[in-house]
Amino acid sequence: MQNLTFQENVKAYVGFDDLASAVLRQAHPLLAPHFGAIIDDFYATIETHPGARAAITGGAAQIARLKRSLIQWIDELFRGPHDEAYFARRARIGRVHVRINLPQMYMFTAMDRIRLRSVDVLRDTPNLDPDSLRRMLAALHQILDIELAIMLETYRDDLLAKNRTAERLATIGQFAAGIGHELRNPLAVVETSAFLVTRRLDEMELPDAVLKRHMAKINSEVQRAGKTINDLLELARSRPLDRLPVDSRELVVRAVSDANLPPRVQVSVDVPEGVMVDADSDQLGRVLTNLLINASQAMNAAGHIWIEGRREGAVTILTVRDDGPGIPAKLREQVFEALFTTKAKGNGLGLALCRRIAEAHGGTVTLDPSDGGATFRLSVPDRSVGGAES
Amino acid sequence: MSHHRFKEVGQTGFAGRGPKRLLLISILGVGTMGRVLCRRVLIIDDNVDLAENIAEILQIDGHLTQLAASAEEAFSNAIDSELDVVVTDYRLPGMSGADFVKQFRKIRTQVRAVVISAYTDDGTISQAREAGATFMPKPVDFKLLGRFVREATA
Repeated sequence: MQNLTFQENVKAYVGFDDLASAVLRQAHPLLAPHFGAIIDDFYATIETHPGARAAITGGAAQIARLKRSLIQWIDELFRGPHDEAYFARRARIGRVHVRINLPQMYMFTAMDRIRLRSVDVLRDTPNLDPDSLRRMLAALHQILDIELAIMLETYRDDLLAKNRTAERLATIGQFAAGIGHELRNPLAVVETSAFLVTRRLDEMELPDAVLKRHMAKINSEVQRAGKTINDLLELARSRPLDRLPVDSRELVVRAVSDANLPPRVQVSVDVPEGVMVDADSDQLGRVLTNLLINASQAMNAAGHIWIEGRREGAVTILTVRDDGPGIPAKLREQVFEALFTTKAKGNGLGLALCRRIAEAHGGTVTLDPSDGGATFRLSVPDRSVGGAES
Repeated sequence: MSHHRFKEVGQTGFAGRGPKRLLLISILGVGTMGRVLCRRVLIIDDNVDLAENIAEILQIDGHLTQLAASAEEAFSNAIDSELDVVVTDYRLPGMSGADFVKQFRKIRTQVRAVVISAYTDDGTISQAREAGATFMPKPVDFKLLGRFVREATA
């Protein structure tokens, strides 16, 4: 058994064989005219429930995209061939639903709609002999059970990956708490001594450029070390959220001011007044500030940043876009991992912190695929639609 | 009157050294000018280097400072000196900075206090506040501390 892949194992378990695969191919022409209606029903089920709907943050365009891929999915379901490559593709499509944070329980219900509608279509097919119908229904249930098993496995893989990240953060947290606090004390001495020396040098009016340059280096590096320690400690502790509906525009304006961006970075804010976000304003403000600083650093302190905000159903979407060099597609997930950085002077904590705060709100922060620049998308659902409480 | 424990700019180490300078301070300390322009600040930190630096920075603004490395030392040294402000680290050997403030303010109700700490968890912050102190994280923002000390009215 151990040599079997997960899919082979499930196939053997439910008794799905080449014959069943052939039976599904026979059923394909009977069901194909109904695929559109079946998939509409699937998404109608998701859309009627606020908690499930919250997963669809891209509006009608995203639903249209998801429907197209699901029609392809159901087409292949019956057409086969049900080989290794087939199951690998299934896992990828299942992952789309995990990525958009569609809770597992809604996936089950929605899959059940596909099952029920398909059974109805087959039962209502005129002139189908009872034996063929029985075989088709048996094969349909088998393949859908396999699909569900794959979906659940995908959710499990995702959970394990999240747990690994959480464990990594917890380990970092323990180190951070211990070492970070210990480092703050000597750092405070260095900082204050540097301050006193700098002041003394000013008083003495020494025209010593070398001394001054080195003092400036000490001061700025001490600040940077302090910031790393603060970020680490912030990442390590999970503060309970203090959520209240606040105006996103105000939050954005405050974040722009807090980010203290260099003069050659231009910021355009397109967030209409009254776009509310149900959030811990301090913590979400920190996410925005981090994204802004990140964008500015990516553009080498010169360029344009656009911040846009809108409501989609019960979800607030804020995007931060820059015209910097962008982030290669293969790093799109990695950039959110703690201690991962592409910057010479980055500590690799900013985006990990952003993601942790977004997820604490039951939301997400993701990097949109794009050709130029980078676009970070922050989605925060209202608490009423099942945003995580803490 | 025990103003002799307060020291002037440039002094390092603890009370008791530098008799010439101390004489000058004791005159300032009891004078009306001293009362109005400067505060008498007790700084408690077991990291002596940091305590000294905080003292030096406060002295730039003309304040008088006194150092202690533990709550116990602060009690025995400061109990009979006049004080306006206590700046104490939270984590000290023995009694915590917050507990010191709580005890000390029972006998010196008018003294204003700042508890500083590298630990910025909610527990530390709330204990500092319950003791009647203002909390400031390390590294200390000296503009903020300076304003606090300046505005402390005994």
